[in-house]
Amino acid sequence: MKQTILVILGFALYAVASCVEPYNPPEIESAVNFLVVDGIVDMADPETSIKLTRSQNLNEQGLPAPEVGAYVRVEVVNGPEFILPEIAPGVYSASGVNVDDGQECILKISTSSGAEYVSDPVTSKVSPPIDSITWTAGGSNVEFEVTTHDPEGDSRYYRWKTVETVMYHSAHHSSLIWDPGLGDVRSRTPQENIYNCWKTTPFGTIDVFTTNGLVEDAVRKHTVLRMPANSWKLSLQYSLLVRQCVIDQKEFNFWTELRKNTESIGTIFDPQPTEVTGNIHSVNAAGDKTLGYFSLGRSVEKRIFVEWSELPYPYSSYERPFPDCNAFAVDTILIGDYLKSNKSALLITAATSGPAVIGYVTAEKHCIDCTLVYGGTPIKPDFWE
Amino acid sequence: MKHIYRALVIVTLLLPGATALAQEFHRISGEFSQSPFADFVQRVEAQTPYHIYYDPKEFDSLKVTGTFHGVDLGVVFDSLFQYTDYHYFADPSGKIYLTRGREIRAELPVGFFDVRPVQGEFDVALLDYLHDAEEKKRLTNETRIFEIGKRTRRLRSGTATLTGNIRNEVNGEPVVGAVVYNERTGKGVATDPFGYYSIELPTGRNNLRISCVGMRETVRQVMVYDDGGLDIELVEFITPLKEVVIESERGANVSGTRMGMERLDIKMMKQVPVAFGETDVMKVILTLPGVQSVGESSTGLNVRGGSADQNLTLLDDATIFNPSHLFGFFSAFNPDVVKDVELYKSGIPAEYGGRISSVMEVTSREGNKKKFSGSGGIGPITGRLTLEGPLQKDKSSILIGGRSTYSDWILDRIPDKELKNSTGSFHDLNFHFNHEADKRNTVDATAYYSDDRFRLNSDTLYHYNNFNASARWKHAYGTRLFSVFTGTFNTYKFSVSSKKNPANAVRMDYQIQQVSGKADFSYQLNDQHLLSFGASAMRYDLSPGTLLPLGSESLVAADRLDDEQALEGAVYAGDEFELSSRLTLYAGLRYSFYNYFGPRSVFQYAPGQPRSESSITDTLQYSSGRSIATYHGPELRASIRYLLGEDASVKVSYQRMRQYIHMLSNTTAIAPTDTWKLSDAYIRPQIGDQISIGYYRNFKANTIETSIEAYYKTLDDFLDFRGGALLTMNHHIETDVIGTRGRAYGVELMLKKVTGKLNGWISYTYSRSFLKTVGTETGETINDGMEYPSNYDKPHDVTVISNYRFSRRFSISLNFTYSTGRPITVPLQRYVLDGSQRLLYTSRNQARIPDYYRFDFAMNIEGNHKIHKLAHSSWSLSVYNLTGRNNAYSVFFRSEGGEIKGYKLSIFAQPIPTITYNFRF
Repeated sequence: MKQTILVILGFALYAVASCVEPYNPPEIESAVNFLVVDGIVDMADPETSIKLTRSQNLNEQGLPAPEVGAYVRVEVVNGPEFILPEIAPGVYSASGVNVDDGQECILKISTSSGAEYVSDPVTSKVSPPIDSITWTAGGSNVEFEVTTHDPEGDSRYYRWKTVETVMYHSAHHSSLIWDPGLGDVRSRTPQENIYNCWKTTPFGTIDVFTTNGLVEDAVRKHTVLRMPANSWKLSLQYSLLVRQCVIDQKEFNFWTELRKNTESIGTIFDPQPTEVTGNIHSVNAAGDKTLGYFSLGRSVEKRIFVEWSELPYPYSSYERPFPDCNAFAVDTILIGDYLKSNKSALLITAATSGPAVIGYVTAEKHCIDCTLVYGGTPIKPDFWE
Repeated sequence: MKHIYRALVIVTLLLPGATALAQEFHRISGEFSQSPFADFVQRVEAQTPYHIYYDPKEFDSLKVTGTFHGVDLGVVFDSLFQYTDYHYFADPSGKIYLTRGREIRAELPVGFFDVRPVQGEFDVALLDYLHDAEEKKRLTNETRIFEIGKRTRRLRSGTATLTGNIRNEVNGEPVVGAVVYNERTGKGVATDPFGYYSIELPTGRNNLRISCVGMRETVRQVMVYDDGGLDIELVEFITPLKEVVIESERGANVSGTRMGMERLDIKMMKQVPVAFGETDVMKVILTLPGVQSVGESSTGLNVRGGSADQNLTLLDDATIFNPSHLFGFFSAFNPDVVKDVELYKSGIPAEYGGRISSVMEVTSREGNKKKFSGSGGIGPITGRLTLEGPLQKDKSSILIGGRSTYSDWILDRIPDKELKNSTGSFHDLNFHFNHEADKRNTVDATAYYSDDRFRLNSDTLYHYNNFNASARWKHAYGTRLFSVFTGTFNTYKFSVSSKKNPANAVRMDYQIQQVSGKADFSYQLNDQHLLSFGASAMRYDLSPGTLLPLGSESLVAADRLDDEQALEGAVYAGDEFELSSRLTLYAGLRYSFYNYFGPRSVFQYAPGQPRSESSITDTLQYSSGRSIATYHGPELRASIRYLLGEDASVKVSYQRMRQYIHMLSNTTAIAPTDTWKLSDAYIRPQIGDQISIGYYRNFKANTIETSIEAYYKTLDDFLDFRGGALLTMNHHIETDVIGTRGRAYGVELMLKKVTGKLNGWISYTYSRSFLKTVGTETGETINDGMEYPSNYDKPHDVTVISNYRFSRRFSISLNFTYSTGRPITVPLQRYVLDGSQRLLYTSRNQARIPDYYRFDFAMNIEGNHKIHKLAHSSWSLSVYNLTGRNNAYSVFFRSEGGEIKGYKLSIFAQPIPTITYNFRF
């Protein structure tokens, strides 16, 4: 009875757990496409590159059109001008762009159609080193946190970008390979590994923070990534690279606004989406909006690794979900024909009776080839421990 | 005898309200000069077949003077007995009875047929026929003649003022809005919030008809010699059967001078089904034409195209700044404590000021003055209990009501992660003390306290409080002048705290406090002029933001915004002037003045440049009490009512309102962190002007009311905010405001059926609301300075509220609501930046969310109706959103994994059944 009452009472509250469903309202079509400047220049990169594209209508398919044939240069105020030639459609890049820390720069763009764009002057900022990247498993989540500080107190506004690399393996380890040239089965070489894979994904989420209201210019355990502790990504080994930049207040406001408009939205108390204005302006036409931001700086980065065995119970003993994989035994003599006729099968290993090979064990490709599962690569990255 | 009664019944039915006047008499002729009455009788009996019966002792002082030539005897009697307490009555057999003081009734008492159908034969004395003592008492009061003023032998001509209190007979509560209608003159007045009335009557005999919401109509016969008092007790319908609640206000919509005003009684509000089973004042107000909200969980009202902060929400005269509980799913008002609600949308009288769109006045009940009693209810989320009783019988009473949630207890038990991380709870308390010192003095003290805490799947805890207290002293000077002195105190405060990361653990506090005093007078100058005048003063003290680190590890730097203080004063005078029986005019003028003063530091900005942090040139320090900014201005209020006949009228009104306090909000719904800001050197007071016109027509003896009202209004110096403006802990909010001008217009149609088994209303509203950037101080314009729809511009709105009573114990209600989806800002283009899709928003509010429609159903089952039993109980079962439609609350686009996805958020995405148990004892 008590239970029944609970169910009735609870039902009303369940309803409050509101419903979110995909929805596409009738769109507004715009005949005009605006110039988009992907202009975050990191002096830590050997190449300085700026990407120019065009904005597109919401229902438009495909990638945004690159802005080709533009004349792009970075001008140091009271200093030299660096020209960035177009190395690929819409990609303007050069090496040897040397801007000293603390120097002011302006980005200038002339498009092939004759439109001129100029950025506000921005100052090159250097990030203080990251003190530590840590992770904690709290509740059902694993959170990665960054800690940094600037003893000078000049940094104040921070922006982080994260890139994850997940090491995982397929369901079955294949030690053998069918060599068509040889017409027979042979052992796999280490280069032919398809059991262990690494998948690297940069996160596009915006992450900015200011120490402006704090007594010290110090960031302590700022969460840069949160993921469920039972995620498949934590099945073997996981690595997170955190790249930290120092930005100015204007850029901080730009990213904060953009995040409000496009990420932290969908609550009961949403603010109105607003037009986010960057720091690049059209010289010729006031109504010609320019999207994106030009900034300069020298980032720092730090990497952290997490082993599945380090996770707290019960996540450490979790069976990570693998595709449902059955193995089939095939007779030695038939193996060549079998693999020819069944293109989706691969060899796992040999079945032996004493020293004699009496058959082979095969399985579906996606059970053996890790590149087919989550889209990783079998090549071990250099930084991997 | 049998025949006589039959005949009388027929007369009554054919000619409702007929007296002996309707009878045909023989004509008489003669000349009399100070003749004794006995002589007169003799001469009449000589000329006619009549036998006149009377008590000579009662008539020995009456002398007859006059010349008649073939005059109907009835007319002679009428003129003789006019303004006296003599009566005549003729039976069909030619006998005429003359009486003094008591009338031989030629009609059955009012309500007689409501009580019992005409059956059998009426050979019993009327009063004995009625078993019920209450009925006897009522009929005695109705048949008796009350003498008003000192009795004089010769009646002076002219008028006299009758005053008094109208009370509920059961609990002694004053009856507000009861109409006292004089049948002789066709004029009526309504009781004020204290149940007090004052009516101008011609001397002599008058018949008063007294009616009110939920009360049985009664009549009083008065013989007016001079000014005097008469208290009247009304009986509630204990078992509403056919009699329906709204009955009392019958005709008032046509004959009253008010327009754009609604009064809702708590009984009526209780019929409207709501989610979670508790009567919600704000949700019922939302069903009225011209009142809208941006979404399901928002209790912010948008009245006739105004923003949510432009409504003055008063609970017993004290301002409620945050009228919502638990994300807006409940309103601040405990239904067991509320007596009634008045909402003014236009034609706001001069005594109200301070907000430009509407005034919503919630009045709490007085405690029962006769006996100790209680009431309460148990719903799925809240429980409530109210206790009340006399402190001194018939003199003073006390009422204490409380309400609390047990939602946390439920949330803990729901196996849903999202909800597990959330908490939400509230409780509130009401207190009402009332004391009637004597006939001329009444004092009242009320208090309200509410406390809300919630956390929505995050580590941020929100906490807010309302505290209100008010005291009133009502005093009558003689019969024409009447005053109310009111003192109020109220605070609203909230805090937001977050302590998950010890290094950034922080708590932000906000507080606003108001202390006010006012004096209101009303003076019945004469039959034609009802004057009202008064003055008020209010002091504001704001602590607009204090930021404090939480815990020793926190690196957060303490920060504090300068306190704000201001004084708002007003004087007003108004006159309700009855130019003719058809035309009534109300003209009022309110003059308000406002002073914003130190201590405070004020930034100075470079002239001619957009106001921003970089254009600050200087900081001026104002010492304590030194004026920083002053504003003042007249507020004209006027309305005209012209009666087109018995049941139709036209009304026109104009109003200007000034508002010195503004809500800082850039969310669509009212957020718990929205703060209030006073007008200062940079933020000017908002000014609203509205003109409205209406046509009112009643059908079928006022049981069907129809109205059409149209309005046009402008809102000046409305505040909008720059994109991305930080509204809390902002030391220079003036750099983020965008001066905006608003414009709204609409037409409201209403059809209301107030009686019968089936009752309710249908309303349709067409309304538009637009905003336009006009200020250039901060250099930002919205939509390039073009007019754009406001967030609450919902052109079409249809509401159907229906209630059907199957029996006195069982009724059902069905509601329907339709409205156009609210405007939203949708992206113009998408683009890729730093590897992720982003959106470009340009023009505000150029698209709409899908239209909204919803059905609600409720069923009320009452226990048996024995008057004397331990406790009365009732069950109400309701289903909110009967069809389970996923009404969109918002539509939004989110960048997820580098891709843009569109979503629709619905709050009540399924039917919500609720069972509530209510009791009273």
